[in-house]
Amino acid sequence: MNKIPIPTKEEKEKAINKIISNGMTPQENFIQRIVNLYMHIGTKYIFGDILDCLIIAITSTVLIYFFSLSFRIMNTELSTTFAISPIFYIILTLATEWKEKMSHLYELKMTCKYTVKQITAIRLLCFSALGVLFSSLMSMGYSLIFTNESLLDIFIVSLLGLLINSLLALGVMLYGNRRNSHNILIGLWFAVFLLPPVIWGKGWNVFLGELPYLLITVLILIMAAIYLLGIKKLITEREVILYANR
Amino acid sequence: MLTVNHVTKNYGKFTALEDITLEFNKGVYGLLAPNGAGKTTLIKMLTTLLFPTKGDILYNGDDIIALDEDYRDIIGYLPQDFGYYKNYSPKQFLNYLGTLKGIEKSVLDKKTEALLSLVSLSDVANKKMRKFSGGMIQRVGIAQAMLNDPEILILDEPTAGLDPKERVRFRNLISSLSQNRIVILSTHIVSDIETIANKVIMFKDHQLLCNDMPKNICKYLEGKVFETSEISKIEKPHLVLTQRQEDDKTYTRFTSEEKPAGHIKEVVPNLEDVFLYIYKDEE
Ligand SMILES: Nc1ncnc2c1ncn2[C@@H]1O[C@H](COP(=O)(O)OP(=O)(O)O)[C@@H](O)[C@H]1O
Ligand SMILES: [Mg+2]
Repeated sequence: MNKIPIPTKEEKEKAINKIISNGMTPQENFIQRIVNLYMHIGTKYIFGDILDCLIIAITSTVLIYFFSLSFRIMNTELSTTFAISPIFYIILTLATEWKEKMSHLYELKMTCKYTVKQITAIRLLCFSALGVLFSSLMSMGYSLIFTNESLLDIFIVSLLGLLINSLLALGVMLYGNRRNSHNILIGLWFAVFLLPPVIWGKGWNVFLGELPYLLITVLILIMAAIYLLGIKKLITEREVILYANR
Repeated sequence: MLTVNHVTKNYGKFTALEDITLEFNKGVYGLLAPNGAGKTTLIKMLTTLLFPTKGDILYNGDDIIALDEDYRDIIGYLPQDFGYYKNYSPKQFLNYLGTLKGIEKSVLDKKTEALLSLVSLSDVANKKMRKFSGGMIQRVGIAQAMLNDPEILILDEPTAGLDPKERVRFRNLISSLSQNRIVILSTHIVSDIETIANKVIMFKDHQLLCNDMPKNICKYLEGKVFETSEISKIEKPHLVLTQRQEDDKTYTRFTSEEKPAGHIKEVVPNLEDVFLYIYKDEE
C-alpha cells in the first residue's frame, strides 16, 4: 500500500504561508485600489458635495446621544448603546444616498471612468471609520456616567451594533429593491436594535452584558471581513435601471 | 468598431427595442425617430447605464460590460436631461467631471481651457452656470463629453431646447468634432442631422428600420413625392407632407404611389419626406 508521507513542520508552514499569501492578495489589491482612488479623486470631491450630510449626521447623533442619557434611570445602558451606535452611520448613508440620487448628474457620473458606486464605496469605508470614532467617544461618555458598566463592555457592544448595522445597510444596497431601500433600512434598525429591548426589557441588557468577549471579538472580525467583501462587490455592481428616462 | 448584436431590451413585459443589430464605424450616426421610439434606451445601453435583456454590445470584439472601466474611459456622453451644478462655473464643473474621468490634474487644466475655448465659453469660464442659456449649458455638456477625447461620443437629443441659431452652431460644432471618432446623436428633428449625419438610423415599431446614408434613405420615396398649389383637386390617395408659402400661394408637398394628373411637379424627396411618411401613423 502506498503511504502518504506526513509533511514535515517546515513543509506545513510553507503550505500555510502560500495559502495565506494567495488568499490575501486580492484583498490587498482592493485596499490599494481604494487608496489610489482616494488619492486621485481627492477629499474635495469625495466629501465636498456632502458636507451638509455630514453636518446633519453629526448634529442629530449628538442630539440623540444627549437624549439617550435620560434612559440612564432605566438601567439599560448596554441596550441603549447598542441601539444608538449605528445612528450616525445610518443618517450619514441615507442622507448621502438621497443627495446623490436627487442630483441630476447621477447618470452622467455613472458613465465616467470612476462611478458613483466607487465613490460610495470609499465613502462607506470612511463613514464606518467615523462611526467607530463616534462610538468610542460615546462609549467613553457613557462609561463616565454609568459607572456600573465597564468602558470595554460598552465599547465592544457599540462596535457590534455598528457592524451589524453596516452589514445590513450594505446588504440592502446590494440586494434590496432600490426604490424603498431607505424604508427597509430604517425598518431593519427598528427590528434589530429597538424591538429586543422593548420585548425583553432588562433581559436584553443582561444578555448583551453576558456575551463573552471572545465571541463578540470573533463576530466583529468576521463581520468586518464580510463588510469589506460587500464593499468590493458594490464597486463592481452597475446597472441603474431605476434611472431609465421617464 | 462598435457592434450592437441582436439586442432586445424589455422593461418588465414591455419591449422597448427588439432584435437590433447595428455596426458603428468612424463617422456621425443620427438616431432619428419620434419620441418613445427607444432612442434613449439604445443610448443607455451603449453607455452601460442599462444592460440588454438579450444580445450583447461589443467594442472591437469585447463585451462593453466586461470592459467596464476601460470602456467608460473611451466614451463621452451627453444625457438627454443634462444635469449640472448651478453653483459651479464651467471650469469647476469640467474639473470635477474630468477628475471622475480619471484625467491627471496636470493635464486637466489645459484640457479644460482648450475645450472651453472650442465651445466659445472662455469668457464665462469662471461665471456660475446659474444664469446660462440653454445653448450655453449644452455647450458645457459637449465640452464635458469631450474631456477624455472619447473614441465614441454619444449625444442624446443634444439640440432639444435650443433656438434656431444655436442649432446651426451646434451642428457645426458636432461636425468639427466628428473627425476620427464615432459620433452617435439622437433627435426627433430631421434638420438636426440631415446635413451632418453620414448614416441615419431609424426605428419603427421597436425594430430597426434602416441604417443607411441619407441619400439612400431618400431613394425610398423616389418618384413618389410631388408638389402642387391646388391640393384640394388631387383625387388619388395621397399623404400630405409639408407646406410652404410662395407668392401668396400655398404649395403642398405630398406623396402618392402614382403621379396624379394635372398641373403637378415631381420633386426630389428629402429626409423629412421619408420621416413623415414612415411615421405617418404616429402622432
Ligand atoms: N424605465 C422604464 N420602464 C418602463 N418603460 C420605459 C422605461 N424607460 C423607457 N420606457 C419606455 O420605453 C419606450 C422608449 O423610451 P425611450 O427610449 O426613452 O424613447 P425615446 O428616447 O426615443 O423618446 C417608451 O415607450 C418609454 O415609455
Ligand atoms: Mg429620449
